[in-house]
Amino acid sequence: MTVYKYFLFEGGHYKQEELTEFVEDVGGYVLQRNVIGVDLILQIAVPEEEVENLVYVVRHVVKGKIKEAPLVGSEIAVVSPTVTRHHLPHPTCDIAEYLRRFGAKTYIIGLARGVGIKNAHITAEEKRIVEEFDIAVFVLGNFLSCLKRKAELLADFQVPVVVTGAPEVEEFPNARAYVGGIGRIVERFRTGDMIAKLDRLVETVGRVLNEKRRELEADPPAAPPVMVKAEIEKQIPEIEDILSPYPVTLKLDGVRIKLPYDEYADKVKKVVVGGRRLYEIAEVVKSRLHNYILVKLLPESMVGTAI
Amino acid sequence: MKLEVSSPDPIGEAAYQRIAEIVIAESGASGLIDEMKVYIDTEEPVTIVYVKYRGAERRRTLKELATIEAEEGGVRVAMEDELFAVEALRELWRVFGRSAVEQISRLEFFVYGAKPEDVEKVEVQVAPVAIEEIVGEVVHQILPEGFRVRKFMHGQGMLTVVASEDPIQSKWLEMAERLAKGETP
Repeated sequence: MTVYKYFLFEGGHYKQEELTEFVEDVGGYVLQRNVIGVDLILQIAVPEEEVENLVYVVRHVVKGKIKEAPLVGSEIAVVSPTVTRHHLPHPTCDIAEYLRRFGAKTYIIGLARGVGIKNAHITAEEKRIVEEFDIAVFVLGNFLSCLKRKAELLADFQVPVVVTGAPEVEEFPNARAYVGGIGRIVERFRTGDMIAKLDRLVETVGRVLNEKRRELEADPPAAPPVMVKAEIEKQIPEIEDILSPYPVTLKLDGVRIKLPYDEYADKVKKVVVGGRRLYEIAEVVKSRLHNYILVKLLPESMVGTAI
Repeated sequence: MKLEVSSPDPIGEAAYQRIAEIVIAESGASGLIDEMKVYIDTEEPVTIVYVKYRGAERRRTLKELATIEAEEGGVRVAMEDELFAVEALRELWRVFGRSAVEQISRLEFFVYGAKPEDVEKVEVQVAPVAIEEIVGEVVHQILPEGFRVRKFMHGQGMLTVVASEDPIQSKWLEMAERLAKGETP
């Protein structure tokens, strides 16, 4: 199966067709295109073996900037103890917004009863929602003793968890990684040292995502999610009418389609990817968020042959 | 304004010091609060906030509440907080007469033929309920959200809140008393 690498391109519109044509010619995809004044920002996926050529085209032909963006193609849950003024907009929204700058698609999830020490808990339904994502970033508070108690809430998660909190500790129970210095904050991240903490979080989340990608490579999804996304967009014209941002959102092992499940599930299941129907190579289930459609690609070992 | 935050956890203490500073600054209550002490112990678990604020019955001068500038033909008064604007305008009308005071924007007045020193002296009655509400809101925003069992103790120009996630214990009330007295809780 083709392994894709993800990049963020920043540059002008000059010769941009040459870039997009190159990406398509090598079997890659332009996942997202943002035009901000005279600047162009593209999220690109190209096969691993074409990375050097891509860098050459960007630097010498298009004269733009390119950087590897491990967060592109991932869907991240930023989980806050609640959605009140104590935790929003700072730091939860700042974190979600900053992760987006590096290509991640983020959702903020506020727990119903996530506050307190002994009283904090997470419901089974909340767990199921968080499990839909590629990775969960839990935004916790300022006191170490409080954080330790809350670690118990993270015990049963299958999805990799990254925790943020004010104390600086090396390891955090039940979490893949911990980023210190980001606890309960009531101001915007605006100074250099505060932004450096967010950069550290981005780096950590990127590392955990890469670990998950490597785990998936052992028995990869039956088809690359970028290919599935492109085919769904091609074969279901209603996608163009969706007003939500990123109507087909990439995940590490599938996609989220922002169409109502009851109406469109059958149509999605019949989408042809590499000569096979989607229902043969993926689980198409109802998302717990807004009745969306969740496509979870089956591993190669279950499907037989990869696409 | 004097602000003291203490906790057995030094990282939490520093974080809450910053939280309290910002919440007070953003609420515009720094002029109302004389002293605030916060004690947080997550092992107990308890948070105590003691606030001493300016006397509820106090009348404050416009000098404290607004920026006053002499201009050609009079004085421009720019209120710093909308909360006191209505009462300030009413008082300016009473002192200088309606025809001499013009409201030029939501928070700005112009007093024709007046001198800055006369305008600065004008006293405005600050509604006691409004002050208590502002102070209460500040305390609410500072307290950890999970500590929802709260005991409010009001005094003349003083508010003490003991908050926890457990039923309030008498030893915490004693700690609150010590905190108010300036002793170690």
